Amino acid sequence: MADTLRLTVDTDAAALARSGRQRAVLGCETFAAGDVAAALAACAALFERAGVEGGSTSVWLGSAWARLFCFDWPTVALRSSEREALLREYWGRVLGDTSASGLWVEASGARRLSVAFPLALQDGLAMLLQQHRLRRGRLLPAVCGVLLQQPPRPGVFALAEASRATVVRCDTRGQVVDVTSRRCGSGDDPLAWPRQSAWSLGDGMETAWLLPPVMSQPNCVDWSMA
Amino acid sequence: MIGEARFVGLDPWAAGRPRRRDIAGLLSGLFALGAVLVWRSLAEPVVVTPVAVVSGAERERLARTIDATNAATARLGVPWPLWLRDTLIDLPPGAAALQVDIDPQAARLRLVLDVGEFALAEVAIQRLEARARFAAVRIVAHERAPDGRLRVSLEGRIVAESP
Repeated sequence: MADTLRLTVDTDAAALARSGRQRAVLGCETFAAGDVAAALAACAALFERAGVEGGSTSVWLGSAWARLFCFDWPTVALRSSEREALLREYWGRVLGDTSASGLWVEASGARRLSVAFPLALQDGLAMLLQQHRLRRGRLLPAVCGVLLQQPPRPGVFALAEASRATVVRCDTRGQVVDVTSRRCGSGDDPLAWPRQSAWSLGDGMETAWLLPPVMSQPNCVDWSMA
Repeated sequence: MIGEARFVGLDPWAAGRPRRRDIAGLLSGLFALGAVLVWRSLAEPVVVTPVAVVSGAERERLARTIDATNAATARLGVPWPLWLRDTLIDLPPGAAALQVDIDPQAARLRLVLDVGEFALAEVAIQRLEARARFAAVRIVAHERAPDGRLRVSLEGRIVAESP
């Protein structure tokens, strides 16, 4: 039977795991932080070493790669070109030049989560899966992938990554309506500032680790109350 | 998966992949179409369309067989056309029925198939027996036609009346 795999790419590390009931980490690779070519090489090495062929692979990208942004979306119906222009306009304020980014936005809601993927990484991953005859599953920001692991519910959720933390606030449909992602210093606890932020007050906050401090452990642990 | 519809807009790879609701819509459409076709086929008299080239004599014999069986089973009150329909519809691609004899009183089925190889006859037997209307279907004779194709005679027992 074909495997269902999950490739998680954090700032400077990637992990390949078999998802589903028989979840197991097949391998971890580190690479130079922020280097797309190095990240792709690490992913290629993971697939080579795991010897997987066939099946479906979902990819979760950490917030260092998948830049997140929430904004108010107009209620009027937009043509595809208008939608694209609006996304470019919003993201242009954040990134400046958006030509190297694939911009995506949630399909519904007055306030929507949007993501900018580096096109080089997005395309490189697609090609990598094709080379290993793997079907493309979902390509998502890691925090969205982790949120999908549980039923939609309102609350504040924090995802600790290797060198940053991403905090999202979800509405009653489980849609992300606010997001912030912040880098932390080397050796610092990524969850230190989310715990102190105003968001976590009152609601309580649930946290998860994208890649654990010990690389041999399964990645993406379940949410737990902080 | 729980909450699968969430974050679809954020997934660059979702565009090339049909969503579950698209697949559900397609399946429900196909189901509706199938239901209409089945309803029409049940409402109309059975029409047997030979899928292999058969001689006029064989065609006439087939028509006579159907008529005769129709007449016989009408007296018995047995809805025989379902047997025949199962027999013909379940044949694997590449196998054609040249002759069908159904004797409801003796509960016997005799079938002459035109197949390219014996394996197809084996598949045909498996499919005939799969619905539990026929049992003990076996090859009783075969001959190789000049064009290299096989004519395989099958015999079996009718074990269940049609609902």
